[in-house]
Amino acid sequence: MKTFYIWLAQWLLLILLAPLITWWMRKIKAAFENRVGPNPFQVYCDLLKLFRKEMVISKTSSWIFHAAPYVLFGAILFATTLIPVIGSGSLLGFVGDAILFVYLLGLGRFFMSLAALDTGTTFGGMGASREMSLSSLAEPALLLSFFALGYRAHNLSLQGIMSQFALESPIQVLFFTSFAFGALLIITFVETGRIPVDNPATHLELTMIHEAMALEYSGRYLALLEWGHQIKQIIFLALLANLFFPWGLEPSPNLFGIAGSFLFFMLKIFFLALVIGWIEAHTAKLRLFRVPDLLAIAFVLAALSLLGQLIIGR
Amino acid sequence: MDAEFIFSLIHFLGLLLLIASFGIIASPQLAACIRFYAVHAFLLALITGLVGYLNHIPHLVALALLTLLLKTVVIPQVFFWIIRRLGIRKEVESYINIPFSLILAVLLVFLSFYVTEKMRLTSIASREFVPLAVATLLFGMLVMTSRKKALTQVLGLLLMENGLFLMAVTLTFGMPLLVELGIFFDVLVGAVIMGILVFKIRGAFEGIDVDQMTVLKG
Amino acid sequence: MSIPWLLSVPLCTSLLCLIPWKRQVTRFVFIAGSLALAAMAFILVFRYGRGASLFAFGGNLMMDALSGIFVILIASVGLLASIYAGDYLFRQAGPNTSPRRLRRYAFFFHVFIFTMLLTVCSNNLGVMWIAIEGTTLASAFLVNVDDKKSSIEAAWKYLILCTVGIALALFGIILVYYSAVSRLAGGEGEILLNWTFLLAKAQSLDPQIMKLAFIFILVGYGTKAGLAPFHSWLPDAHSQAPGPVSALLSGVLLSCATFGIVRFHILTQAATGTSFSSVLLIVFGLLSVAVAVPFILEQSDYKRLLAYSSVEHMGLAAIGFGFGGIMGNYGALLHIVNHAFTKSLLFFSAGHLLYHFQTKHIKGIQGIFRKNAFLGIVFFSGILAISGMPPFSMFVSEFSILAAGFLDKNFLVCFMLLFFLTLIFAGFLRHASQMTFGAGPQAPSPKRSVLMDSVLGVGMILILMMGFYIPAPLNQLIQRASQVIGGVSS
Repeated sequence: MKTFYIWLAQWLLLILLAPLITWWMRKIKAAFENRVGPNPFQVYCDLLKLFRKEMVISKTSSWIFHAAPYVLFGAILFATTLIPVIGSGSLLGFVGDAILFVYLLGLGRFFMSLAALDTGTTFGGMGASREMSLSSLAEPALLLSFFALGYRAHNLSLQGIMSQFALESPIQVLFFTSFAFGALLIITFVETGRIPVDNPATHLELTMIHEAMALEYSGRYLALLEWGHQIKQIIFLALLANLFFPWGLEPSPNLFGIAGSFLFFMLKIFFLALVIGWIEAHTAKLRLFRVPDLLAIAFVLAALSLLGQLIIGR
Repeated sequence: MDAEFIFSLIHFLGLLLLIASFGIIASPQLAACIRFYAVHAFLLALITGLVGYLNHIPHLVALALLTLLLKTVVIPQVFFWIIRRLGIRKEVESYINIPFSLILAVLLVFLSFYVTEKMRLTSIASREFVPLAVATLLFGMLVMTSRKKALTQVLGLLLMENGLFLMAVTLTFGMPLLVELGIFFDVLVGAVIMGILVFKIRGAFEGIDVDQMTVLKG
Repeated sequence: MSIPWLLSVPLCTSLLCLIPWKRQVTRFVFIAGSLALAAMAFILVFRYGRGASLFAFGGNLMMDALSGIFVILIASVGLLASIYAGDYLFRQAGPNTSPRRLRRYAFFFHVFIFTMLLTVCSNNLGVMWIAIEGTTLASAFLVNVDDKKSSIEAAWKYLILCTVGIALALFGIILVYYSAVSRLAGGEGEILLNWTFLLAKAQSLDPQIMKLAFIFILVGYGTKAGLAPFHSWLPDAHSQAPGPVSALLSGVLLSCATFGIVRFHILTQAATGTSFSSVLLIVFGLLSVAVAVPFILEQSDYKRLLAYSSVEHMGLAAIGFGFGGIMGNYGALLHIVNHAFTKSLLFFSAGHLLYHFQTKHIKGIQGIFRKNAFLGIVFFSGILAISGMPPFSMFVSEFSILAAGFLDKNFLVCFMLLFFLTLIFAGFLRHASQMTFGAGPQAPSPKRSVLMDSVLGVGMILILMMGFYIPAPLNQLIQRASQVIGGVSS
């Protein structure tokens, strides 16, 4: 029973801490650009403001436009239940949940693209088409890297992979999964719309992907989309942190142990975010036509990490 | 060095070999392609030498040295010389763009794993190398069919030959020395003759893109 | 007198041709080398190779009855081609062919003959592969003699396609070797690739792997032999090469590649004990004949016409080997011999046509008979012969192949074959009668060459004679060779 509460707590934590990570990324970028950056509650305040605002909705839109934010947010909340954070299990984890995870993200993306097309604006259509063409490459790569990790762990659930890796020596894990790590890192950039792929801070029509799809939204819907996006970001960071550095999980069941495990998790995530922020600050945005190259590299890396295990054996 | 260590080292080199093959497909510049080919041949020579050392087969070590000399030094240098003489600066042009050919390449590797599993070739040196060799062969074909420049076609051919060599080394500890030497001789002569023809193509077609070759039909 | 001596003749000749002598001396060496080779080949095959097989170099080289046929073919077609080329290139090419280029041509010509001889004389399957790859490399330069755009393109396609094909064949050979290494005790190193050794132990080879290997070999050497659908280099190379080289390519080189396939066919039959390889040969052979039909019917270039006819005849030979049995093998071997002579005669006369009319287009040529009666007769009877008309030799061999098919109860294949052959005959007759008869533009005839005309005359006599009477020694040779192939009757 106690572990159930831990799992529930980690689910809620991921959802609530998501805006904080967004703040942290902004802060890092600001630091690299010699700016002060926002205060820690800025992102929360923004969300709150959006929730209270009135919505302006195009008359030509159908029910899809209304449903999409809820579907997206719901899918992401569901996906969050599959991620172990401080315990070695997750709320709804089961064997093979990695595949479900990929398709939950896909479901959200599908509805988002439909909604973007629904209003009939040019930007929406453009964003949807870009998102779809990128995800057609990103999704197989994500799936393939999960397969690669699962092949090594003999288990295709996220929690199973993590608990298996936690048993092995860290160097061995890093050696065999480094390619998959590279692949997942690239996919993280794509899925969270970070700089070599997409720039969340701009509304420049030539480059934007995600922002173009959310352009017609306002008020509560926009808040849901933004929040969902932030949760997605923390999910990927948590995946990277816990899959490849599965240390400090499975705390002793007292308050002290849980707190320590939680702090260690936050440390890992903040450090990863620092790395990502550093990469973001030091690269230029790719031209849209070059992004498939990057994704192909992710795909090859994921394949290599699977093939490497076939060739080298265990 | 103990046998266990060498055995795992050979396998690790095999993985690097696969990465080098991917490099040939991924690199947008001809010069980079050739460097990757040299790396590929170098790894091939190392694998051959180690397999020979591990199993006490002296002629494999000799073949490794020959590979090292011929394929990592002579042939790449000939290629670079041709590039300099022809003044090729442009990128590798391809019928299929690079991301797609990479994905195709990944599929080819999986295909070769599947096919060799079906063939039940239980190799003597190591099972994992047979699909690797087949994959290299298929990569060579991919490069040959998808690239436009005459020179990259030759490169694809050489890559295919590397795959066959790897196949022979790991499946049967190399063909008889007489045969292997003959094959080496053929490869060298073939590369030289193709190089000369590339010069002639350049002279006649103003460029070495093979998609200009459409005179003969029917 | 043994195989190494035979092989050394073209090798020495090629080196002698490189020495910067005067034009006439080079020409003399060029022809004399082929003459010596032909004499030696005949003596070796009919005198020394009568009884058992000859071996050399520790069993790596071998000449049995099957090789004997091909040695005779290479030597005699090589002789005819070199005499023809001696005039065609050395005298008529005019001042724009530099002596250096001629020397290079002569060198590669004899190297080409050497590699083909090595192919048919090798017992070691690896050596055979090396030799076949060598034929590609040596003849690439012969295809591109004049450095024109089209001939460079032809040479490039030829080189690339055949090398890829041959690489696949090497894959097959590695598989055979693997099968030998893993299954056969009592042999080591080179002997494991020796055809005679493998055949003796064929029962213990892994049948699955041998089947797989045969597929690769068939695709690989089939590319070289011009079997459809790997034939696309063939019309290009044959149409761009000078006449005598086309004759060698079509008459002998394709046969040598077929020889390679037949060697593996025998092995696969013995190892698997099934008609697996025969069926494959019949399928690819029939496909080749079928593919040739539309290209022969609608062709505008007479050298390409002849090239597609080579695809057809290689297909026919493959079908013959596929039918198997003494009858089928005998027919196929005889077909290869007849095709070599008939097709080289036709390519020689194509060289004449190019020289007289200065065009490769069928439409551009009319009234050969009026202009040069001798050439008209030779060309037209050559065309009749190649399409399998009775007084000529090809009829006999095509008839044997079909008879073997009927004996084998392969009625469907035989009827399809008859249908295709009829179509091809119609196509040939249409093109040839348009070219031969009628009144063409009467440009002044250029000077005729006695040597070149005499080559045509000899070829003409050969194809007529072989239709009525096959010389007893040759007949025996072919019969013994077809026993070598033997095999399971499908």
